[in-house]
Amino acid sequence: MSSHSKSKQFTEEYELVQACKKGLAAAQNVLYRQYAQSLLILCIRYIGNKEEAKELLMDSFVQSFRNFSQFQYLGEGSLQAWLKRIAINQCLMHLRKKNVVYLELKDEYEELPIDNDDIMAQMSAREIMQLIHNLPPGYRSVFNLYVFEQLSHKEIAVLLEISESTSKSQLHKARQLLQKQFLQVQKKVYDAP
Amino acid sequence: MLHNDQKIREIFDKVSLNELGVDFEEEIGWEKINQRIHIKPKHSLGYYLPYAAAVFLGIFISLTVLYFGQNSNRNHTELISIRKQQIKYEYKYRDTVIPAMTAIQSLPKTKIRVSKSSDTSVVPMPNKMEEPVLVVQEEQVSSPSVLKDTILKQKTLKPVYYADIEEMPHNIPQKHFVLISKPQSLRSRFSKPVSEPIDVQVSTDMPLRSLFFAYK
Repeated sequence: MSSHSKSKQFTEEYELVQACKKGLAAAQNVLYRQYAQSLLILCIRYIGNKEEAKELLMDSFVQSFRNFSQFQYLGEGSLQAWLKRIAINQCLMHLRKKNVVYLELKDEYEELPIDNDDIMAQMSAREIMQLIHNLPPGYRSVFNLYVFEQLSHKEIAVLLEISESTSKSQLHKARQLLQKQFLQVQKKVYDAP
Repeated sequence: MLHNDQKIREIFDKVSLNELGVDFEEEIGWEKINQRIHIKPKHSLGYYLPYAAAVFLGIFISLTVLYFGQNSNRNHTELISIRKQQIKYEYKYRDTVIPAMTAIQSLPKTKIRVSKSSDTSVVPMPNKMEEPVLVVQEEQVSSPSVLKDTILKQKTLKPVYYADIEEMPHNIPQKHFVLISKPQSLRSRFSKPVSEPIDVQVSTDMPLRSLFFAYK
């Protein structure tokens, strides 16, 4: 059975959820094909290493399918949010195992109104991803949670078991490093003949 | 910076794995997931722990029951052991007059029965078991050989073991108090070979309240 015909059986997301709750392999396959790519990109953002990210993606799906009975469908988007949360947790657990340290920086910091539109317009997504990868894992986690998942520092602090000020300082440091990298790229672009 | 955040989010919302240069074989990924979900995982040691505990408990209970079961038989075993020793002792001193008190005190009273019959006879136990029966000769016996002959004529003589000195009639003439023991039941119990006929030995000058054990 092709994936196209499989997906026909589950036209509504709600139906797909119910079928997954029953443990139907066909439904799980449809779900996997719908979300695998976006979740893999998410894992790569957090982990950096592509192979490790792929493994974590597998773990996330296995975890999701095994715990599907706990999922409560609250309308469009709730399924994606739930899957993302599981994937993020898997990534954070993986980083925790690697003993990623979130150091609190005592320096004073403030949000700088920086606009990198010009340079970002000239960069590919792959290059921007590379800049994010270049961040230390601790900075990268906070940056991902704040920028992509749009969590507050309070939420990040709870999730990573750190203080709010640590979260803020980690984000600030991540931005500084990113900015530094953007400037380097910009310089290269302008210096290029 | 918020403007930058928005910009980055937009870029990554639209990005594909190809654009990021990631080679992802979806089918292989699904096969791996499917295998892990639908094939039962190998159980860890923890999974088997309750079963191991149950088996251990079962063995423990069995051994406990067995132990106490054996203990309950211990009295019986000890009794047999005492009797074995007693037989050896009696056999060793079968030609000797054994002080009755010494011999009897170590024996269970329930096994004792005294007959007051006027002649040599067999007195079965009340429960008609092939248990110890005491034969007491109350009448005057002229000589040991007479008594011996009398006893040997008792073809139906049943196993006779012990006498209880407490229950013995006081009017028994001391010279003619004889205890005969035929260890047939002992033979059945201990598989001890017993020769026939009974080797009865009688002493005419036995002291009062003494027993003469005479058997093989």
